[in-house]
Amino acid sequence: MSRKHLVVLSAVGLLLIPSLGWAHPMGNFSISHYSALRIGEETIELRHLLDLAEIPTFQEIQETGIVPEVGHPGLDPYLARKAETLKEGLRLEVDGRRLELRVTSREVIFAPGAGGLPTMKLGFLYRAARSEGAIDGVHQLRFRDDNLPERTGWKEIIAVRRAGVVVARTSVPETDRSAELSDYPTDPLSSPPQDLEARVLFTGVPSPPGSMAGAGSTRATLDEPRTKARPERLLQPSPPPSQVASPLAPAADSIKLQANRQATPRNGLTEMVTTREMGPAIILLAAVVAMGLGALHALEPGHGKTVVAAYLVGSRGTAWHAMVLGLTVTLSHTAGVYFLGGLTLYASRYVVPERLFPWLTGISGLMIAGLGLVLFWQRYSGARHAHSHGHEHAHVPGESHGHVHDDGQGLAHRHSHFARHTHHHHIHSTTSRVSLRDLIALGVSGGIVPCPAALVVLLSAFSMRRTGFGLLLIVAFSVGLAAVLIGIGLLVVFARRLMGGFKGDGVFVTRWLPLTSAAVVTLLGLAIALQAVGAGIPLAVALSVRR
Amino acid sequence: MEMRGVIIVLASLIGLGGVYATPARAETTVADRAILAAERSLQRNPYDGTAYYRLGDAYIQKARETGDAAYFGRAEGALQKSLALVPHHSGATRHLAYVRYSVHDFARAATLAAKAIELDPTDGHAYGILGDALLEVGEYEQAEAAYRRMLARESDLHAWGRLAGLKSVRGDPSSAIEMLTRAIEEGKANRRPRESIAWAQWQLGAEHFAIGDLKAAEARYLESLATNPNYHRALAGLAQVKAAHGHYAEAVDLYQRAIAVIPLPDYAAALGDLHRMMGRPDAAARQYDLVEYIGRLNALNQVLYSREQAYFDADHDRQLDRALELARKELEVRRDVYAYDVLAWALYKKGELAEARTAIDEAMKLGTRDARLFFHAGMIYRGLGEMDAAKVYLRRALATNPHFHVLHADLAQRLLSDEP
Repeated sequence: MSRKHLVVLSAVGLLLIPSLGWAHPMGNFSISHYSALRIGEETIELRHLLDLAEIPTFQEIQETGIVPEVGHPGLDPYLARKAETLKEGLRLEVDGRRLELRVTSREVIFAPGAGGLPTMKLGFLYRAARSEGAIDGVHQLRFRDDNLPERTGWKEIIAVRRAGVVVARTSVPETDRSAELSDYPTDPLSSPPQDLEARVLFTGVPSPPGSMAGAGSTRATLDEPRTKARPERLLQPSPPPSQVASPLAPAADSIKLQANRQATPRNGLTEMVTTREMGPAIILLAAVVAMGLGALHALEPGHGKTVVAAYLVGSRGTAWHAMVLGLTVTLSHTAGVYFLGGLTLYASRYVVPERLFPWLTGISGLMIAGLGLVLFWQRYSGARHAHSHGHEHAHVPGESHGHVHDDGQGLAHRHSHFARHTHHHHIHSTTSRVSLRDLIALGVSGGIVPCPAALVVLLSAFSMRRTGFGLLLIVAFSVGLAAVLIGIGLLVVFARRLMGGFKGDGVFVTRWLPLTSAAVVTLLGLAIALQAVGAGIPLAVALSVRR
Repeated sequence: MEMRGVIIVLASLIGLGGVYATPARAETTVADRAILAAERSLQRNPYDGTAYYRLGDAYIQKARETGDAAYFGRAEGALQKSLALVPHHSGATRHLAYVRYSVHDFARAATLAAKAIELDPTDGHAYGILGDALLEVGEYEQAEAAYRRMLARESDLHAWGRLAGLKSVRGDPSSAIEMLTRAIEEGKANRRPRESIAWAQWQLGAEHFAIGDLKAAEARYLESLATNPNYHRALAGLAQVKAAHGHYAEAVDLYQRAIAVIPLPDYAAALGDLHRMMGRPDAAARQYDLVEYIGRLNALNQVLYSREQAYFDADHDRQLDRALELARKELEVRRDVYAYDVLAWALYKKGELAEARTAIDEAMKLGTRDARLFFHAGMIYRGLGEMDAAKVYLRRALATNPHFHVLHADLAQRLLSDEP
């Protein structure tokens, strides 16, 4: 989950800087290059895109005097000139012979960047006729982009085959990572490619009759042939056995340019330091966003939702139970994050938190499993008891829960309230009792393992000396999380009641449902614990080679 | 049959294809390769805090090579992850200190560097970064102590280069030159990245230029370019030498090459001045607009280039209120010699002469031998009517480096000859 969330969370960081706006994801000095080679039987097509960030766009406008408006009459001659100058720096050779590139189409868009200032994206489609004669034999293609090699930016080249061609070996990938410079991955793990050269060995292949979907023809849906977001659709001709995973590229007559989808503040954290003051409105806004993230997070797999639901279904919980459970999760999640954050800051020389992570998960899993087992046992034996002894154990569904009464006035009161409530419905009391103790134990187990994204937010806030703000964001995050858990709990409770209204309390509801739910809780707990063991192994290995 | 032929050809090709197995990447540097290697090991083991540290290290090198501060953002992300996985990783802490230093968060950089030293007292580089941060806030004594400790741990390019910078600020250019020469030797012996060696060579060129030795400066800049082709700092340095010689066309070309790599405001301002010298006000205005645009673009730029922006505004009498505001704001976080100089210069332009004098005296208190400081002092004293002092400083500026600035050197010359 964390990658997506981190992006959004760093967006929370960016909210703190209203004047800043969105920066170009590749830095505002950058010029990014993109070349997609499509190797066909007769022609080789080159889709060449340039993405100029704010500063180079400003320079380009200065130097050429263009007006940054799509459709402005001055743009056509500019694009024509640009296509020719760029061509000089694009060397496409097949078998050592430089091919003449012909410009087929040229496009430009001006997407707003930081502070609404324009950035520009240029797209040129070039075609080159492969040499005369048959495609027989092996050909060596070499492509080099000599334009602006030193300038910082994303420099990506891909090579795709078209029908009738087999690629034997290529130095560049077949799919791109930036969706044609419109969606730059921004996490530190995907470094910008720096490819300015490609070598491809290809050869012709006898084409199976009647299956040349994309060869040379014009197609209508061609805006984005091979991008990371989209699975390949045109895989008709079966390639020879040695070329299993070589997809085909459709033809296109022009390039459809797209603004950057991910106007991500890659250095949002860096920029955050520049804010000196934060207004209350911004803090509130950030808290609301964090809350939303917590809610989203709760909707993703994990985080004990299933456990919550299973427990409530099995134990005939009420709205109040759902609330308690949700609140416990919130509190324990907040506490867990604070605890781990504090540990990271102060005690990590002695205890290493990432070693603690699997332990926490493991403990949480075992707690849940243990709880499930206890429930199962209670329900199993309790159900039998209920048959033989009536409601002798009316409000003590297991001896371990007897202490609830000692916990103080409020708790005792609640407990008796539950008891009355359940009696009222004539439910077999032993199987249905919900004890606060169970609820809290379950809530704690569900919430104690901090979400890594929340931890990162807290630590970033610490490192930026915004401790109070970090603490607040975590609370907001946890509140959002709890809201969803409570919501799910309520949903389950009401859905069950509704069902109960129709079905009555048959043996399924009174006996098998609680037992199944207890079993599910146990299994889930064990699964979580096992997961922790799995996660712990690579961690231990990683830590043994410190430095 | 045909099919089988194809397959046979392909099979033999794949056998032969070792040549093509290595991806052809244009201009890959050590940093690019290190980034890929770290990414690969993180794909295998995403919990490897040390690999995140190596990734952060490589991004820092990339930021240095390209001059693109955006890479520091990626470096910071990687280092934060490294520290989340292995808190108290001394290397990651030290690197984070460097990133903070690079985005001009000097206080935080000093804290982190001190923490890195605490974690690993043998780490010479952490002392280096601590010294850098101290130097920026004007703690020269402490900075020197930190640098000496660094040197005691490891005699290396970075230690010598840093001590040289300190010597230079202290007005001892010959020691600075000696130390930089030593730095380059050590860098070559220890096989430091090309960019690091080229940096020291460029710095050496700048030291020579500062004392008016154009010939030596040119030679060092050319060496720097030989080490790291298209190194933007060396291109700009060489442009300065060419302009001093009066070879304006060549200078324009070199500045344009530097700007093609990265359009730093300094380069655009210098190119604008050249255009102005050459009687091309339109071309000059374009470069000046670019400087303005860069400074205004975002908050990070405003922090990183605020000093350049303030100098630029004051030099060109553009927005003097803003220049003064930037200079005063800069002094809040940075208290080195030049923080006082830019303040003095902005105050002078605003006509606040008494305050300007206090600031310029502060700027000169270490005895830095920089023609720009002397020129500013001369102009301020002249404005105060203290003509004798003014002449002394203007003469000293020209004696230190007769070509210190395309426009200002001539102005100093003129003022001295007008008032005998």
